[in-house]
Amino acid sequence: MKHILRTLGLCLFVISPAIHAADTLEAREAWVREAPPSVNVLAAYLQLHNHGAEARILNRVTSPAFDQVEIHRTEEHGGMAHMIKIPEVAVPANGMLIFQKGDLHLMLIDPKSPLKSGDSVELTLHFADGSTLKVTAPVRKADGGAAGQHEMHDHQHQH
Amino acid sequence: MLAGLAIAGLFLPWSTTNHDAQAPQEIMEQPRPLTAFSLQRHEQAPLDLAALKGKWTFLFFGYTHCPDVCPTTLLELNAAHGLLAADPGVLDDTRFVFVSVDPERDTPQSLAAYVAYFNEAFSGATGTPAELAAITSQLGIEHSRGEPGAGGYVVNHSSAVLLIDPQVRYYARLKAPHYAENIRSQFLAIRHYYKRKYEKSYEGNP
Repeated sequence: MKHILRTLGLCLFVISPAIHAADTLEAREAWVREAPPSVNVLAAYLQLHNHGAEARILNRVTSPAFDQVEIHRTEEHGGMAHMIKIPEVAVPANGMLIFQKGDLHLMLIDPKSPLKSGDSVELTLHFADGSTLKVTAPVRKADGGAAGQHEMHDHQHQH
Repeated sequence: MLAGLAIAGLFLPWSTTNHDAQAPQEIMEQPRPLTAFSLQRHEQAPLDLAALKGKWTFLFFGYTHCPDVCPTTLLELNAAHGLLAADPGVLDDTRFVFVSVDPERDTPQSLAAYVAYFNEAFSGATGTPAELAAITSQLGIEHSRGEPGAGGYVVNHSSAVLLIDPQVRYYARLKAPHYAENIRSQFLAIRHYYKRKYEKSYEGNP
């Protein structure tokens, strides 16, 4: 009996992503960078993997922990860093979208209470097809240097 | 293939077409003495020509309402600072300064707390728009307000890290993206070059 239940459970787990469109999207490696004192804007980074056959359009992000969340991209033009607000961004079919330092990121504005390393933040990603994806992102105090290289290393393995 | 990449990696920075083939590519062709400027620091002497004399200074320009580029760069500078601690004597004559180009929201006091979060040895400075222009115009640092959003306005700004030499000259420009290991190796190369070129004539007082 136990064995059958386990098998059934496994089947449901395998089958369910094909049933619900929302389940074809997977968020990985989500985290929020702890902010210095008195700073009211933070950045969140994550990977979105789309296992479905259709592109998914992310057009809004909300969080109970912040007044506002915006999708931003840092762009370099002629030696200047520009921060561009992005209205919507596609997670390609059978592909992925990476939010990472110096690139696409979620700008988290005005935390409702101060956040420290060890806390976690709930983010709700809203897609153009009406579906949503809830993501829990731990707050971390980031290091530069070797830690940053480690992240890139991980990232390459997941391609 | 790997060996080829390693060799290219080793020689590329040096194979510039400059007249001085040995100079690291980040170095200005003509190091330019800075002219008078003065920025405010919290509970510290103003940042001016006198304050810069005798040590190398890393300068980075940004603003605290900047969630991505500025913390990323300051974290890399902090990591570079950590790496340089293993290089004898280097940190003794090196300082790091973050200059806010957003004085409307960043005060010298709030900057001091912001910068100390990344590294207690770093200092923060800012000034009125006119005071800022006196230094940014000499260094080719640009900044302008972008579109207003929910978090207030963004500030687009030069992403380079600049090196001022102990004679208070604009000496080198490190381009983004910044990586701690590269900052360290570029700085060591620049210091080595500088030493060979100027040490005899320089009578600085670190």
